[in-house]
Amino acid sequence: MNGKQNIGDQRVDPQGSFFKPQIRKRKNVEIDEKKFVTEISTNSLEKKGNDLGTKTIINDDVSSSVSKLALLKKNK
Amino acid sequence: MAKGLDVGTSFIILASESEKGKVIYKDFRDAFYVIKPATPIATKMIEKGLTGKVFVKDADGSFIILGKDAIEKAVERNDSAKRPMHKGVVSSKEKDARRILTYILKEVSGTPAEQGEKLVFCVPAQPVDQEDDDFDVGYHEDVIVKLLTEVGYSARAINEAEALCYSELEKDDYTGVCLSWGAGMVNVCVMLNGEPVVTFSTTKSGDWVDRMAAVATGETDSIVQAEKEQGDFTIGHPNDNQVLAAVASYYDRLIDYTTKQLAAAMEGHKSIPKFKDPLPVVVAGGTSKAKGFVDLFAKKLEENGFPLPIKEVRHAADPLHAVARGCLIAAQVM
Repeated sequence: MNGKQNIGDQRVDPQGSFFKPQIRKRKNVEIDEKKFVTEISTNSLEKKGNDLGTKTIINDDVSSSVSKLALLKKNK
Repeated sequence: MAKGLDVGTSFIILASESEKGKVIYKDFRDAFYVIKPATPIATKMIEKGLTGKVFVKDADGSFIILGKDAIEKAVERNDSAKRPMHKGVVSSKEKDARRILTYILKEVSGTPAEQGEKLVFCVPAQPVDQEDDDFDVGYHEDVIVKLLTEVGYSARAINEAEALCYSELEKDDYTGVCLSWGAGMVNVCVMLNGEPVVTFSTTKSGDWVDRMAAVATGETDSIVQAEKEQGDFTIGHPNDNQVLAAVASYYDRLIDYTTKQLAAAMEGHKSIPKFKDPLPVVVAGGTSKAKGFVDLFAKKLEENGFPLPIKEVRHAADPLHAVARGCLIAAQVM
């Protein structure tokens, strides 16, 4: 528990009482789209063993799904 | 050309197309196990013992075994393998998680056929059984977009269950309900004519079964996982093997829990339209491969008051690859 309870779209402040909850209206806060991801380096990892992954070729093709879905999306 | 990538808690699966238009899958178990040798002699012995396995050597001299070899090595040592992902996103529990996940994803996705090749990867939806503050997919998505962009892809995220709908609902005019039962979560999408109208997830799935069965029997999670994947059991049936009996029992509870969550989340949901025909419900994911899963799931949906009319409950044609296939379809339509 993080000390908050949801009631519908509102939040109950834990300092309110059970019978008289203090309800705080939720504020819609826009978070900007800037993205910060720290550099993740894999340079220290030296490949020694076998390749990663097992490959399988399946007798299946997705072209009819792609055509039908593309048509549906186009008609929206 | 385009590719689909299922970034799962248990498996990373790349879907691409051959020159003849056949679908190619590349699967890799999303696990690692670290061995740190104490002496130079131990280093040589360990390296020799790892011949034929998938592993890397770290700058500090430790060996990081990857994939199913990691699970086998952990079981050999009566230990549990580590996961770079937890409940559908990059794990905050493991300090090496981001680095290992980055390495695995770069190796599995390979280099693009051309600069800017489209790649669609899946992310989980917000859970309905967990506080919003405890789960967010934003950072996980940014990490994956960044590393795939560095490799040269034009990468975009899609909801996991939405991708499953694109793979499995073609003959139903892309209308129905799909559930992806992964290791960490169950992802759900209700789709109407190719448009996802509701997506959400629940936070108990195959890993929860392993954990609970491990607690009940005193075994490690990796041993339970290995027994579960190799052993013969049917959900809801007694079993002479203590571990499998516990697994079967917790599967029953998992399905009951999830169907109750589904009913509660969908009942009266303002975004769900009035469907004129009963809907297909499709299940996929490694957790759904257990014997008796689909039958019990269908029974529990009815018992626990699933609010939409159901035409049939069926398994995906290829339950382990269906999400990656859906990502590939989305990448080609994009």
